[in-house]
Amino acid sequence: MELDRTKKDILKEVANIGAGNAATAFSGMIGHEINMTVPKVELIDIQDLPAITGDEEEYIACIMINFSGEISGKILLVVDMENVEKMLKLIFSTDDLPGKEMQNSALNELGNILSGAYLKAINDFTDLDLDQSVPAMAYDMAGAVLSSSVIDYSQTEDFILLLETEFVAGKEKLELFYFFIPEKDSLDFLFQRLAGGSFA
Amino acid sequence: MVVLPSSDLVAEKMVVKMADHAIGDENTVLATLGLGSCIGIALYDKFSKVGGLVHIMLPENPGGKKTVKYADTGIPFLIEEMEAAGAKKRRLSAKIVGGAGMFKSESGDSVMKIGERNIEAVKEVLKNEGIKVIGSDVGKDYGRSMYFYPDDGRVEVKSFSRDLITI
Repeated sequence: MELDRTKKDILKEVANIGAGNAATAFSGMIGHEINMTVPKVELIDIQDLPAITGDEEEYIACIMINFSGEISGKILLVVDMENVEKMLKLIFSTDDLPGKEMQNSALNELGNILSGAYLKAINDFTDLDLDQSVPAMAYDMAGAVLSSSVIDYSQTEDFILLLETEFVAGKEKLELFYFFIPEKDSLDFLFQRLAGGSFA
Repeated sequence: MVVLPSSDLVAEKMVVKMADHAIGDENTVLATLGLGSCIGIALYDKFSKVGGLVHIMLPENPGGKKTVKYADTGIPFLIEEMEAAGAKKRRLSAKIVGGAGMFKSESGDSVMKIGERNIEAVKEVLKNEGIKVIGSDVGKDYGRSMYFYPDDGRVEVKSFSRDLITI
């Protein structure tokens, strides 16, 4: 798979629109201003994925949502444990956090809201109809979690395409990685749609 | 108290990435970090002290793909490489680590079954090669790092869920 300049620009635009809307929704949920980084579009060797957020043995939380419809893929929200705690405190507006079940439920809801907003913006922009799955979660070593998240895409591919944005929330400097990973076969369709069919 | 793997005391550590492999001798430690649904397979010939480690991701090579990414092509490849380094196939034994189901839905159900399929495939391939599995730490729902010491064949497994174990 190759990614020329034009295709990269198209994907950056998709990520920008999706992440912008997700940031607005996130801000509405926690009541703090959210800043986001300029989205990065990268084709990476699947071997490098486990260390994409830093140390592959770092303990992280990951919320995974699959989307499907005219194009399909995955959304991953990745947060290290320090930031999970900050985020939960913002969501619940208290330092006195409720039990694990409520915490997981809140994180799942966050995943739903962010991916819903991201996908809706892409729907509006591309006129594609996309549905999202219920979130799945994992807490563990970054390498173990990240490698397992995309293992179904690695059957025939040695590379994956990542659209990456980082969100930083409020004074707390809460950091959250957001990855949008379209399935390879979906990409051609996306390019055709967005470039008015001018891609061969 | 945190117990560090004894690899921290060994001179030459070779880290094996996903879909990769390495061969070592008694002066090395072969490590692979953050195994989730993937499986690390350590093969060992205790007479020549040749050790091999392969980190596979999936059960079956669909054909023409990277050899060491799949159990069915990665394990035979590792055996050949070890024989070239002086090991004898009939003396090899295996220790396997990984094959977890990492993601769960809110109701607690595991959402992907690839870890389980990997465990089955690895056991099947080893059986067909006539190599006995003498140690394993597989399945369940947590990530693992493994450290394989060809000086005596031991494998240490590190996980957040429990203490360091040796298999």
